[in-house]
Order: sequence, then C-alpha cells, then structure tokens
Amino acid sequence: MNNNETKNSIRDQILNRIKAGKLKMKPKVYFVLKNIIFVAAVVALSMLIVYLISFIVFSLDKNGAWLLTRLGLGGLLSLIVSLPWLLILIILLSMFLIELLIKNLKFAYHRPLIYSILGVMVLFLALGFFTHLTPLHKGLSCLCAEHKVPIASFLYDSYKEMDFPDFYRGEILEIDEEEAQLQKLNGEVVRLQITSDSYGSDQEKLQRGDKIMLIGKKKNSVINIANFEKDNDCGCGACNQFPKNLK
Amino acid sequence: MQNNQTDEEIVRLVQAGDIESFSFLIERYEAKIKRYARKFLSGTEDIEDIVQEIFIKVYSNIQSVDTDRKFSSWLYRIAHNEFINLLRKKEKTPLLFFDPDTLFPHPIANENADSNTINEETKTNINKCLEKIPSKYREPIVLYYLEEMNYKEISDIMHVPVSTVGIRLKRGREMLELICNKLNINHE
Repeated sequence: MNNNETKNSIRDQILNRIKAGKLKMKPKVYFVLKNIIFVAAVVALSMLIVYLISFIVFSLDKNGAWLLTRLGLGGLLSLIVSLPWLLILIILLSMFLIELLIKNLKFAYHRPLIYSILGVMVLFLALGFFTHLTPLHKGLSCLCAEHKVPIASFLYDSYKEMDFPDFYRGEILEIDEEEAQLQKLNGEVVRLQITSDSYGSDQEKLQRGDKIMLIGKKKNSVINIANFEKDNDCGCGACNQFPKNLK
Repeated sequence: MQNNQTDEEIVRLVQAGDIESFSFLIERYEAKIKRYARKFLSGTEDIEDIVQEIFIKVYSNIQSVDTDRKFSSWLYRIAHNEFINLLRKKEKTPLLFFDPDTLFPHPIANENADSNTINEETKTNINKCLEKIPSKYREPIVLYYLEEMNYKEISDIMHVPVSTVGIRLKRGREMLELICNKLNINHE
C-alpha cells in the first residue's frame, strides 16, 4: 500500500463510517452541559471551601481560641493542636480537586502550578475571612440552636465547645481587688487570681456579672489570669452555652 | 475551492453538517499527525490505527471547537492525549497529577529565536537519537524542532507552563547531545 492509498484509506474509512451513521458528532448541547457541570462543580467546591474556612474562623472566634496566641509559643502550639483538623483536611482536599479541575484552563497551565495553588489558597482564605464577618454563621448557629437545620446542627454542635488547655469561660459571680469567682459553663465555680500581669484585650476592668473567656495557669485550685476577653456577644449560639440561670 | 479556506472556516462548515468538508481537514493534517506520532511514539507499529482514532475523536468532538481559536492546537492536543494514554499503557507509568517540572518557575527557560533554526542534517541526526530519550523530553523536541512550533503553541498542546516547555527542551537537548555523542552522531 503506498502513501496515497493509506491516506485515502483513512479519509475514506472515516467518511464511509460517517455516511453509514456509525460515527456521529456529539451535539453542541453535550458540551454546553459538560461546561455547566464543570462550572457548577467549581462553584460548589468554592462555596464549600469558603463556608468551611469562615466556619473555622467563626468557631475559633466564638471559643476565644485567639486568646491562646497571647500565651506565647505554648499557647500557639495549643491552638494548633486544637484546630479542627478534619475540616482543614476537607478544605485541602477540596482545594486539590479545584486545582485538578482548573489545571486544564489556559490561565492555570500557562504559569507554573505554584502560582495557581497559592492564588487559590490566598483567594479562599480572604473570602473565608470576609464571610466570617457576615452574619451567616451567627444566623445559622441560631437556627441550629432551635433545631431548625438538622444537618448543620451537627457541625455547629461539634465545634461550639472546643476544649483548649488553660482556657476557661463563664460568668463572674464575685470580685474584689485580688480575687474573683467564676462560674464555668458547666456550673462549676472556680477561683481566679488577679495580678498586675492580668490584663484584658480592651484594658477593661472586670465586674460582677461579666461573661468572660480567659486563659491562665491553675495552681492550688486558683487560676492566675494571664489574659481575658469579655464574652459580649450574647446572641444565640455562644450564649446558649451558658446555663439558663446565668442568662 | 475549500482548500483555500482556513481550518477554522472548514470547521464551521463541518459543525453546520457539511460532512464532506471534514475530508479537507484529514488531508491537511494526516501527514503531520502521522509524523508527530512516529517521532513521539517511536517503535509503535500501528500508527495508522492511532491516527485514524485521533480523527474519529476530532470528528465526534468537533462541536466543542471554538472557531475563534486555532484549530491546529486543538487537534494536536487531542493527538497528544491519545499518545500519552498509549505510552502510559505501554510503559505502565503511574498517573501523575502534578509533574514537578510544572510546579515552579524556570527563569532560565526563555525562548531563543535562533535556537529553532536547524538544518536538515541536524534534523536527521535528532531523529536517530530521539527514541533514546524519555517521552516527556522527546515530545517538546519533536514539536519544536521537527514540527517548528513555538513555546506557547507547545504549552497549549501539552498543557504545561511556557517555562516548563523551555526547561524540558533544554534537558532534552542535553540528553540528545549525550546520546548522539555516545553513538558518534554529530548532533549540532
């Protein structure tokens, strides 16, 4: 078979198959649907990532976890250990899936992958942080507290009481110059020691009835306050954790 | 008549149902795709079947072609995917989601206009050593030196960064030089 014959052979074979109806072109609608599914998958994954990042920031905020960073390296390590790693793993997995989906798009493959990976991470972290500033999670946690959102309730219930070492939360029952009594969320009353090193983020003085989050080392059943923050956000969600008699 | 038309104009006709026009696309690209296949898949016997399979895929997916873009890049991309799948089966190489070459920038890998001007003798010599180098370096060499494409076109076919095309060409050239020297073939 010479070159011309093979050339004609491929062309003729394909044309014959087309004419016989054995080879059909996929309709345009197939590709339109494929693109819609692709965009929907990217949007859904993006929304999941932004939601989870903002939820993590929200739950750390609500649980006063940022106070731990003021305990130095030890506090920072406690914070890292206490992070919701399962959610972080889901976020990383979703980012990986997004990277897989977009890696065949021109803007992604024309540049080294590290740029699109970093771009995706920075974009989602920023979006997640800004979403945390919206009333989304507060509203959802209110609905969950009223058992109106059954699936999300699991998420909000699991992470609303994160357990950090040397971290306490409750209401001041009694207070004088050097000591205070704090009723924790579980009703237990603990003694607090206030020293010149104890200070709050807003430099405010503690008063009876204040709801606070604090960090401090416990020594001989007395907690030496290292840092505290007033738990002013008494909407639903976080405040629902307080025993009813404290509200 | 249609031979004077651009690829994209012919594609538009095929998309509109003019089946006969598809034969012009086959005629225009069959020899090129065969050459690409022979160089990239050196040692593979059934080039005819592979090329036929590529044109079958081209026809069945032709409605997805954006005629505002270059048809040849799209066609070569389909051929590239077909070849990569065949090589994966043949060489039983694991599927890599991210090639380390594509991860970081390679600042030294810029395109040099002079480097693609090679004579016929060098082309012949490249051909002799080409099959000895790994496929990931072989492909950019085939596309750059033998198909005379630029970095951006190769980047669009292989879906790798432009700088990765450059670094693979550089490494491929070094490998070729080494192998050609061993075989006593004048590479430059």
